Amino acid sequence: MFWSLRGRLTALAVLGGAGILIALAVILLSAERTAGERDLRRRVDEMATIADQLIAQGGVQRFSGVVVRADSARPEALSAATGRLLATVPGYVIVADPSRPLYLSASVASLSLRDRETLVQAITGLFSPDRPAAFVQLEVARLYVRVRFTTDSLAGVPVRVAVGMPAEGLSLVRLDGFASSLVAIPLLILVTAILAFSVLGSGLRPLERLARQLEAIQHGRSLHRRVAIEGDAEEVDRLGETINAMLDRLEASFASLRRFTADASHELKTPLTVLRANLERAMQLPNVPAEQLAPLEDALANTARMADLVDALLTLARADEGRFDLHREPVAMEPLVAEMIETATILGESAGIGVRRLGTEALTVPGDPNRLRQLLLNIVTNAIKYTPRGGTVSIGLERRGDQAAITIDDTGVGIASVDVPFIFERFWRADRARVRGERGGLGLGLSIAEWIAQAHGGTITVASRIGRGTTFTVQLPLARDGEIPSL
Amino acid sequence: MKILVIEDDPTVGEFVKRGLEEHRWTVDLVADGAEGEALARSQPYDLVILDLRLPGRPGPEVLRNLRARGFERPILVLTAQDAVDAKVETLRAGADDYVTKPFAFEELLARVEALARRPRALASQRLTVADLTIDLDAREVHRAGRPIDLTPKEFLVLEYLARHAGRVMSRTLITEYAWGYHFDPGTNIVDVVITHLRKKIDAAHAKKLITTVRGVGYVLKG
Repeated sequence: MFWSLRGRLTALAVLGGAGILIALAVILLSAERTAGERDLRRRVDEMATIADQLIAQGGVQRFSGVVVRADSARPEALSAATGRLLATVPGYVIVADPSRPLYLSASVASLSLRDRETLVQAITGLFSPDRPAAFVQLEVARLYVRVRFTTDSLAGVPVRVAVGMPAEGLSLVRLDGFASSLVAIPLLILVTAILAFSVLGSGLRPLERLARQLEAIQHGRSLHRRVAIEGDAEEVDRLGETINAMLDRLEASFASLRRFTADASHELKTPLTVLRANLERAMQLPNVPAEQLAPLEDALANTARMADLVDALLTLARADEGRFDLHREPVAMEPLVAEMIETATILGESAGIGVRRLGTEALTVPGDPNRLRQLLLNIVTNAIKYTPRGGTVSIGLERRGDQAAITIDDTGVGIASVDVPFIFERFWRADRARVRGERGGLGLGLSIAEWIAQAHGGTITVASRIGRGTTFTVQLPLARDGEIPSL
Repeated sequence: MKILVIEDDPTVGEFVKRGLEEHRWTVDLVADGAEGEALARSQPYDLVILDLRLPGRPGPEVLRNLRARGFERPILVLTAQDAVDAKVETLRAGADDYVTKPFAFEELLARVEALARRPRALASQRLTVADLTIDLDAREVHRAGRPIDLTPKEFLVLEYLARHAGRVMSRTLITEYAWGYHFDPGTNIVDVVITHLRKKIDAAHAKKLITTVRGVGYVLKG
């Protein structure tokens, strides 16, 4: 269905037009043929009648021998005067008695011996009073022949008067004329196509306009806008009104979702703020014994973890809503990657994992520095967590086209290829043989990392082999010259 | 220097008030939006801390009213929403900065001091604990006159402990200060950094400055 509506309707119009033209041609052609044949028959009948009358007149006038000379050895058995009269009749004329020809016109005489033989045999054998006319195929032409049966008045001998005219000669001439008009058919089809395409274009314009407006609404994520009702095409207007009604409902439901997210943020975060404030204050009171501080610190750590989880859930809820808006400022990637390398080195030290620095470059990305730090920390801590003692984690930064590519490569346990599509799913965790550390994390780290990359217009890709290690590549669009980072 | 805090939650309000008072600010606390607005217009505050959800009059309205009537002092907004468009709207309405709940007091204090354009403390350019000096501008550390080379994270952790010298600072607070709010390593990362710091700062000296408080964190004292 890659055809446009306009293209499809044009094709339909052309097919229809061509069909009609061809049908018309066939009808005209057969009509032409029948008319030609009828014409031929009429002319041949006429000529046969004339020839018959000429012979009859000759007989009545009793000129010197209309009479058949029954014993004559000569082929011309008709009197010379009758012969002269008959010579005025056009076409192939033969006068014969039941056994032999009595007169042959000049055109018959000029036929080849075989054709003449065929014709004479046909006239003496093929025809009868029940079947006075037929087509006879000769080498030179196909003749339409009409025979009249009479009796010579004097001799009482039955006589056949045959007149033939070529069938093809007549109709072929007409066919030629018609064939030239057939050449016009492709031209007519082309004209139909052009006409249909332009007429349909203007007919579909209201629909096209509607589609463009909807595209603008979709691309701009501007649900408050509506399509214009122009009032020039009833069906399209109705469609537009329905779309507007649907946009009303969409806008309302998005607004309520947004309100819910805002309310949930407030309802969840206010108690956390209170909890946190109380804990911080309690820990700062003078002379708190260490055995009381320890559970307070534990509570603070878990409050922070909970706050982070609430933040992650609300962030992902907003992402589901399709909102990827972020605070943007130019972020120098080199110091950020250096910070990751330092953090990885510290984490790797107690885990017995070496950290290598791959190449680095001075690159700037428009983004939220806190979120970008969170993104990279999530992947780096993940790499350390899943790499066994003695392994290596390598971190690099390089330019790839108009993107900054950060690679985090480990020699860890790897991810089975069947699991790779799921690692960014929320709370997903593979049944790995060995997970160091008391906690495996929230299971939201990679989901959040992916969201942050997408919100910056970037991507995260994973290449992994089980037992060999995993490579995460984060690609983020670089700041373009002259681009003003917006708040 | 006077600060007006408009916050309806008593715990959060008290926490902010006391914390700021400890840093030698004078603080008035009100819970009602309309009351807060009237107070801000009648008294010469250096800064206003405004919660967005308030009884009496909603925070955004208080913000707009104050700005519309020529209130020129900095306003710091407390908000539970970290959606960017909500923040942008707040800033457009006239706020100078915002802090997202839940916040660490340290973060709030940093924003307040930045807005009031007051140096963090008199010794803010240079922190001194016993014979240890930390030059915050040059990012240099000396012990007994000898320079000590620190990595960026080591410097941040030491600076944090020095700012609160003599007080037990928990691992959670240290982690947040050095790695940001969204970092939950689930490991002993702070302990590793402290081990490094001890080697560099205390190893060559009889007097140890860094002390461990088991299960809590660390304290730096002279």
